[in-house]
Amino acid sequence: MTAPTAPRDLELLSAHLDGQLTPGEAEALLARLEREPALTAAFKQLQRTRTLLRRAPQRRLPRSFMLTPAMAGKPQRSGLGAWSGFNFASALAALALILVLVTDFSFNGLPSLGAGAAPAQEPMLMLAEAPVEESSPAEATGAADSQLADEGLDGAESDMLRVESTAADEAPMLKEATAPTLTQWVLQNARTLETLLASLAIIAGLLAWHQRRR
Amino acid sequence: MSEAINEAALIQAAQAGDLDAFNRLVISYQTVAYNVAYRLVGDDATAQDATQDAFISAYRSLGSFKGGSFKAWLLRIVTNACYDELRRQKRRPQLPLEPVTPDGEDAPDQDWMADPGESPEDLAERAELNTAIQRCLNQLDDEFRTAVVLIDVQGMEYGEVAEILKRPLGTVKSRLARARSRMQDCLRGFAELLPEQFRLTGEETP
Repeated sequence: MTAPTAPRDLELLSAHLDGQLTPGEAEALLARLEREPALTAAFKQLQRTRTLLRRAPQRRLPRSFMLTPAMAGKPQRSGLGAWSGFNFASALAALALILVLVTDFSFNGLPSLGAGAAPAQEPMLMLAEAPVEESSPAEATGAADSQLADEGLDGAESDMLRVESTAADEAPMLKEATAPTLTQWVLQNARTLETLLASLAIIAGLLAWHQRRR
Repeated sequence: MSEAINEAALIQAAQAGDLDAFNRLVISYQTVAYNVAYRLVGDDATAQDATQDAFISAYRSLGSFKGGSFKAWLLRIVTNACYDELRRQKRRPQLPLEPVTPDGEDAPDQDWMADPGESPEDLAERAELNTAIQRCLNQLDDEFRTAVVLIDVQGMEYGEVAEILKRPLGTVKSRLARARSRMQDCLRGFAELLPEQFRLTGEETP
């Protein structure tokens, strides 16, 4: 049996194994190792122990230790809900924008088409004129009178024609003017609607993207 | 270098709440974390619990990481989780530290990384060695065991271990020396069980 090694010597031998001694300490220890067989034997034993420990097998990973959002304490459901909500709002606003744009372009034409778009603007002109005709039927009657006079018709015939002409001209215009449809309202507020919906789509889209990244 | 930059970027992203970035760090360190835990607690199920708890705790306290060695910071959390598990076991000693079959025999434990081309004899020898080392480790005090596991079994540097244990370098050196000496004495008791090349005898030819 080897004699028990003093604690201080044990520390020196252990540190020497790992190259942790200062050059002076290492030199002194090497000199002692040459002189003291018991110390050399203790050093070799310690060396073998360390070799043995270094050969200890590493265990295979039994499973993955990656964290789920629940483990991390993240509110997965509410986060996903907010993301879905913003995403849906963005999609809805984009769809509404497309509908407004299609309606606007169908009736008013593309802004860049210039003269070619003029015929398509007729319904708008008619809508704009309708209230004027309704508010001053006397002017319309007067215009019909002068046209009849130009054609050389007598008073009774012209009276009959005037009544028929006025009634026939006013009927559709009054209908359009008194019951404005959703299309008319959209067309009247097209620019405002387009700006609002585009902004809503972009903002909701950005919020959805931000929520997704969190 | 790029690996260090990548790790720093992942840590920064994880600190900002990016769980995917943190999980990439988990992938990098889970093997060493689990192996350290296993050697400290000596039991697979407890080691798994301690490792998982440590990663959860690490994610939640990422704000306290102010730079330096992420590995050392993480392994400190792992060792603390293991100490907690060991304290719990001491209060309620229900599970044996050694894997035992219903017959009272040591269960064959070969759940470690096999070397490619290793023969059945080599595997058996490694099984014996593993059992002997684990039994001896289990007899050490917590901090002695941690020092020897981190430096000798995991091959870490003294400085990193000092950071993990939050002890001065001199304390780490002395604890390691005493731990090695106790391991040496313990492993001598397994001389008959170990293959010849692994045997430690009382006598050593100078």
